[in-house]
Amino acid sequence: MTKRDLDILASEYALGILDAAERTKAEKLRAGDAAFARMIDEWNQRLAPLAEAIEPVSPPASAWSRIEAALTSTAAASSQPLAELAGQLAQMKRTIAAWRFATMATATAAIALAVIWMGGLESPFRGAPPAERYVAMLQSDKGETGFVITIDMNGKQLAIRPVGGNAPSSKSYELWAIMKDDKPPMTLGLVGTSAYAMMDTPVEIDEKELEKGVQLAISLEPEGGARSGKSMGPVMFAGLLIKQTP
Amino acid sequence: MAQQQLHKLMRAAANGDRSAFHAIYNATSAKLFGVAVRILKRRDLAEDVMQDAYLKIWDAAPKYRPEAGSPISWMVAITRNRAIDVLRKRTEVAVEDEKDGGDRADDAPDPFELTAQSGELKALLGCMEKLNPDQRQCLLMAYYYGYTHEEISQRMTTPIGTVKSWIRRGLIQVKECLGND
Repeated sequence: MTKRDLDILASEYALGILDAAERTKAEKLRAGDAAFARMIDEWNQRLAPLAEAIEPVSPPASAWSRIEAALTSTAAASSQPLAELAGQLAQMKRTIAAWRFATMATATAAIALAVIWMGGLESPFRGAPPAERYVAMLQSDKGETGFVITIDMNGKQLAIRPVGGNAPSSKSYELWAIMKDDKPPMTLGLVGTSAYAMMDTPVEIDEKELEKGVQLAISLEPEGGARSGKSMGPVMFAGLLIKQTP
Repeated sequence: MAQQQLHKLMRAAANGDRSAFHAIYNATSAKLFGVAVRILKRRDLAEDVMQDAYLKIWDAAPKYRPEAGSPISWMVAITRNRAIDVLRKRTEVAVEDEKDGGDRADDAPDPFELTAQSGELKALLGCMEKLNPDQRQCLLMAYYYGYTHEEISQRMTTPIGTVKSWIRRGLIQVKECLGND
């Protein structure tokens, strides 16, 4: 696209006239093209004065407490939308840096915990050599553990063990895999409320990706999960998948 | 609230100051809720959108740069964008269930009728006045209703290709006009 075409697309996006498919296309472009993102900002700025004619409407008094609660649970810096997060992983943003630190610091603990857990319960994975198992301990940026996740690459099964709480009512937790490359986060499904569960669908993460390093993240989404398969919600917990045995 | 004060609160919120963020909320929530209600016409959906918008604002506050516009313009754009996302996802399910009839504003806001206009709005409207009336109406319908090309084409009983080119040309003209101030 020429610069002029991009500017036209930016103007249409900012005006809000594009249909769902065109919007998705523009958003993808925006995520990877800083110049295009700037064009959108400029168009937002040009059109913004029109909002002066929109009548203010008082929101319900309960609205702030809902927002405040969501801030509390996402903590200071963790609530990056996942789509943005994926592109920023390499840059070691402060959130990620914190996660990385937490992940490294607790990697040993994660293995220990997963092993204890798997020893304590009957192993859900039959016949898989331990080398084919990956574990991740998903933590908030405050270092609180939310989930322990185990993947058996032989059977492509994923087991999820919530350690923290469930998603607030009318919200769902959704599990995502974030690859090293600039691929969009891949949804692995909704996280149920049971104390221990296997995901229904096989996990389709490539072994090669796992070797490069795959982060799992749990985002807070509207009930029923992210609309259009793209995460909008804040990331609540994240952690690196590591081989259970070296 | 004065822009300057809002800037100061934004900087504090960017550093994680929640009371500053609460003050921003108090100063701006009626506007943002108004924007969301305007597009979605349903208070329950608008409330979800407003909540998402404030979470996004909180997250993005460290990245906010004053040269990208005033805080309120920036927040309105975030809210409106989110509202349009939700609107697009709902169009497959016809939005027939508007409980709050009062919010179903059939009369779009008319910025030209606004008595207190900012300098920016005056400049923008000055440029929009130079467009032909159909072009102007398309732009206003898109902005205030969040309509797609197709929806505008139906409402104006005009071929979609015509609507597209009206809007494109209109936006280009507006940009050129604003740039020549």
